[in-house]
Amino acid sequence: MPDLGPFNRRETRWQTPEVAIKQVKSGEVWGRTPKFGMEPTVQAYSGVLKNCRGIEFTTKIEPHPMSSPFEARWYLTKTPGVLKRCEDGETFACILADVKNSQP
Amino acid sequence: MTDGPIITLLSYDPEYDVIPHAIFWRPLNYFTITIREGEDGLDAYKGASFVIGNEVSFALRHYRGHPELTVTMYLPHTIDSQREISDAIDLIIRVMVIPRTAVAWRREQPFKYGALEKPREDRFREHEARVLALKIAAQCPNHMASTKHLKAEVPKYIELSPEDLARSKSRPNERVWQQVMGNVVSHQTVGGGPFVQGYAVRTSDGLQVTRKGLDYLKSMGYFVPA
Repeated sequence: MPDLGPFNRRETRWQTPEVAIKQVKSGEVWGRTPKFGMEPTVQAYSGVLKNCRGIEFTTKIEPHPMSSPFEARWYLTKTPGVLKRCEDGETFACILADVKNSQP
Repeated sequence: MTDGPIITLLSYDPEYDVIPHAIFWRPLNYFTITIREGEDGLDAYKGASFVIGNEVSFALRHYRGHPELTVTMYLPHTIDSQREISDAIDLIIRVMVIPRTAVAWRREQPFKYGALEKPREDRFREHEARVLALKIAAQCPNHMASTKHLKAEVPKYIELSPEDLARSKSRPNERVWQQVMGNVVSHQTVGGGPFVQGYAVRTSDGLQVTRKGLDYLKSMGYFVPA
């Protein structure tokens, strides 16, 4: 399977510089359950990161079909290849990714 | 006026997961004056939520990372059959009077991530200009706007195509899009125009939206605060 992407996540209160370092080191991008969301979900913009801080990544995991040209989503139980991770009692969706850190 | 389904602007964000099902080549403020700010696992966004006839709930959002002058339409995750989704998109397009050429993508269409190209045929035409003129004027004091103001506002609502930006053949000192908006005010007797419809009255330098015009905007979800 060729690498898909690039996708990107902008710096937010969740996508912090500390998280970006972890993502590069682990080769994993995690996503929690969105407010009112169904289940843990990795969410990202499609395309390259333009003129802002964040991460850019490629992955071999195909996004869920209910994504859009501008947004990609990987649901924990609905998207083949998505892994489960737990930390501090919270469950996360996880995709393996090659991550470039642009929020040092 | 319309006897179609009633669209209501909701004062709260949806309390369910939402799925992106369509993208329009128009900004959020093309559809609503009332805009809320929010943030979720993707990013910060500006948005508004609506319901049509107590049946189809949907949200319009523009996330920070979305291309400018676009808006994405989200439906509840419970709407999951292709037929339901397609019907909902059709209804929203019809009720909100969205030009067909302004539909950048909709669920049943295949797509590539990050790639959407605005078609050249998405031009600023007079039928759209008539509605936009009402929307712009409705925001002004006494719902009154000069032709100059109407023209100045247009680029905030639509990414003008090369054809729109071309020099007008009949008015060489103007671009085509400026002439199109100017025609809305100057073509007072055109059948579908705002004056003949009773949606606006002519003023010395532009137009003023009438009560009927405000109700017309309301019928497409464009609510003008009193």
